[in-house]
Amino acid sequence: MKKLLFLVLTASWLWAAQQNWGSLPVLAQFFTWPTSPLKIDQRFTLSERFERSPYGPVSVGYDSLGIPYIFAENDEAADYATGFVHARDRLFQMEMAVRVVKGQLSAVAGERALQSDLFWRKFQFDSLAVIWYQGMADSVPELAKRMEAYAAGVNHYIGRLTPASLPLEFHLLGIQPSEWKKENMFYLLRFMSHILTYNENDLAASEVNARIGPELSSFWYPHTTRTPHPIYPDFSLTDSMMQELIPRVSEELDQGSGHSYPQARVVNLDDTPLGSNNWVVRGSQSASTYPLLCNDTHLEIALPSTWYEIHKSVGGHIRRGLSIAGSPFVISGFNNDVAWGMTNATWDLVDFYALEVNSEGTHYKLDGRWEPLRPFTADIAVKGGKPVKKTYYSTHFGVADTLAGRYLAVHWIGQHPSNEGLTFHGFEKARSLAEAQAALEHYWQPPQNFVLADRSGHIGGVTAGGACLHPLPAKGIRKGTRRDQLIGFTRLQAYLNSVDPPSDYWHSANQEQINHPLAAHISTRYESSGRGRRITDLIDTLPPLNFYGMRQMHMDVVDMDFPILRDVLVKVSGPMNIWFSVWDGRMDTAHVLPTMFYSFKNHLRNRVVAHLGCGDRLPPLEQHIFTVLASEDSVPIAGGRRLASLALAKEAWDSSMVDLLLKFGEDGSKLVYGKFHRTLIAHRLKLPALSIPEFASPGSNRTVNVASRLPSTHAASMRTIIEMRPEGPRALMHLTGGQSGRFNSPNYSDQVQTWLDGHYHAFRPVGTFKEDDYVSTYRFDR
Amino acid sequence: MRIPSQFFWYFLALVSLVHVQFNMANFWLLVGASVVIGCLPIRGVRWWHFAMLSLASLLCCMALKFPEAKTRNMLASVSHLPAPLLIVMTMVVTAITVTLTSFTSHLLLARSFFPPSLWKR
Repeated sequence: MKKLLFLVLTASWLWAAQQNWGSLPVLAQFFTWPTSPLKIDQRFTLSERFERSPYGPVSVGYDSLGIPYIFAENDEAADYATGFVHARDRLFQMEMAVRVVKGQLSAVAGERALQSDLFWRKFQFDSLAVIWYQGMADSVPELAKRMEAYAAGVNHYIGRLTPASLPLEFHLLGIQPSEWKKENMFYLLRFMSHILTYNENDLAASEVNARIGPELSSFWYPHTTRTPHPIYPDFSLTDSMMQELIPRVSEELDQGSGHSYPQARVVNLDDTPLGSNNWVVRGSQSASTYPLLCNDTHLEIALPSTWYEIHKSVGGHIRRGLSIAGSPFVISGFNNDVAWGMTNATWDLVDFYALEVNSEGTHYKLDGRWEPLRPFTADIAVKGGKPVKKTYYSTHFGVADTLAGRYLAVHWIGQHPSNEGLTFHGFEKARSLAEAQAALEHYWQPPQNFVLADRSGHIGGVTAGGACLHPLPAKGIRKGTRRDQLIGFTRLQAYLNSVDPPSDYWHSANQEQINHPLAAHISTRYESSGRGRRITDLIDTLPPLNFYGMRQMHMDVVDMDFPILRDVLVKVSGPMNIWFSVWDGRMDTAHVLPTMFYSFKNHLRNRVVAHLGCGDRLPPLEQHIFTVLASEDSVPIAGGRRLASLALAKEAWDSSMVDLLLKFGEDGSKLVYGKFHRTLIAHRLKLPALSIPEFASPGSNRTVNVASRLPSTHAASMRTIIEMRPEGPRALMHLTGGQSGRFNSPNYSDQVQTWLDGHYHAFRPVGTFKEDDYVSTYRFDR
Repeated sequence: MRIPSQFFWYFLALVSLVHVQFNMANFWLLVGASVVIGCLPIRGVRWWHFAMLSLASLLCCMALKFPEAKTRNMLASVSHLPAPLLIVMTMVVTAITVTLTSFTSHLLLARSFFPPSLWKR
């Protein structure tokens, strides 16, 4: 009896220890000594280590910011050490990125991650990555060796983890790091491609088209920008060349479906500026007479940062800049001879095709015949829940899923096999701008506007990647009934490039690349050209540029919607008009006008949405709204009516003021922008204890120093200023957050304040490894 | 010199527990170690002997490396528990796990593994 009692008691306890009890973490993971995160200590970050490397000797020294300086004799040895240092500082981030793309997040995070897994599993990247890696190993063995060395470095670090050095997040989720596979870089690429190119705006556009009709749609959602400020102002293309580029297919939108897709992932770039800035000036424009190149990428600002700064010296040849943990390459940075950076091309690279499926749900119509829907099932493990089975269908148009009771196939550039590693490998080895340009020939996704400069004084820009050139430049779900309706991807780097432009500078800020009818066929939803305009203004007006001038440009907070709306505001803002008539649009934290202007812009957009009845998920682009209201006396709205632009603006101003009054009371001092516009840098698991509390920050969604909606969570995630001198590069840089993903590291968030203040750290040219120069070191011997 | 057998087995149990708790990060290894400890031929053992063993092993672990202040405070914020309570709770949960598992395995398995001679005084 006693035996039975204890057996039952023990079994019950062991079961209970595996369960969630209220808000407490799982007992077995968090509250037993072997697995307890109380064991975590930071001594491992401070001690000198001697390790073995199968790729030859490497020395690694960390500076006070946690930036690793890697000294190796060959690429593989450097990649081995890069894998090691990435894992040391960002292992959890790497693990999560791979799990996300493999669709294995629910297995560790439970049901809340199920939607993510359901999305990713349909693409079957799990098996594709292995095939892509094999293809790379056959075609570019040099690159495959680098991947292999990198993976070995990551696994070396994983192999020597102890409970004390296992990152906190693994303890919290109760998991161990997975072995790092050679093909994992492909997951990383898809992860970035998803952030920068994937949206389901076509589903929302289909709803909007059905709601407001074609006339209002063509007015409020035009295919081209009214006030373009193109990246390539001199672009030209003959009609015959254009006809060659655009497939001759008659496309049809799936009209008037009246279906609703509330789960659609709509990305509105006005709210979430997933863009970037880059610019380069020739020696004739710079104080030093040498080219200056700048880059700042606008991504989610979170802890740990997207970027990881790294310095590699391979046989004396340096590669320095920002890398992404999970890949051995410098993504934005420089080597001894060439500097590079990028901004997102913001092209439309996702299409939805409506399939005509038979009543049994087994076949779909293609070219007048019934083709089988080839089903495949994903088994998704869910932590703390039952496994989920989900069936998808392979079709000519891509993977089909049932949404709102219909069969919709999705065609996304992420499914396209590509190997961007080859481009960054080429960048790292390039000795001239021409070689860097040649490296871009391999590039597919996510399409980017690359900026380049070399130490011979050449500058240039190339927009590289695959574009989906639709004959019908309209948004919405397309009909998928004929084979030829599937539009493939076309690389445009041969058309969109500029070397040593006549203006002596080149820049991009996610606006349209060209002012040409072709632009409408590439994308219909570019970002506003405001930042681009401001960069042009600053380059043209600032004195000969130096590092200080470049910093001034990075930190510029003039809202470029203000010049468009100034006259309107002066007319509708009552007693405030005198202030708006002399204001310059600077979104500083210490003033009241930025708050009023920001709030007015939001209300103006919301009033248009309300009068249009298009729903607030995919409103017309702000730049378009503001431009038409400022330039036309009246605008069309729902019900076939027209509304006076000034009346609409007055309505927006009044509702904005009431809103501010209700939020901040009558005390005008509370309206200062710093109290209104806050930035939040959250931990990626959204744990408040690991996040930076909200703080006042300048800028808006239309300033060069960009910030997203309130609280701002998307902004410049790094900044670089690089001068290419004949004797070698000089550079200033910083990233948002810190180098380390470990909360107890001194480098977890030490760059937040410097990022906010616009303080950079300088690149220090170093020739050889000297142990005394670093805070901590690792030595790898064969 | 003859090793007093009781002392030897208790010492072995203590060292094993300290080793597993200090160096290994797996709940099921702790359970496994507890099962093995329960099977050791300790004479006249009571359930609270295992409780004392586990507490002693926890104290040894903390003596070897007491949790860092930064870690304690961070975990307290994450778990919404005061840091001292967090440590106490960890000790209690660990002790219950070790005690229950060891004593149950002692009751059920110990005599099947070791020859009867080892159980005699």
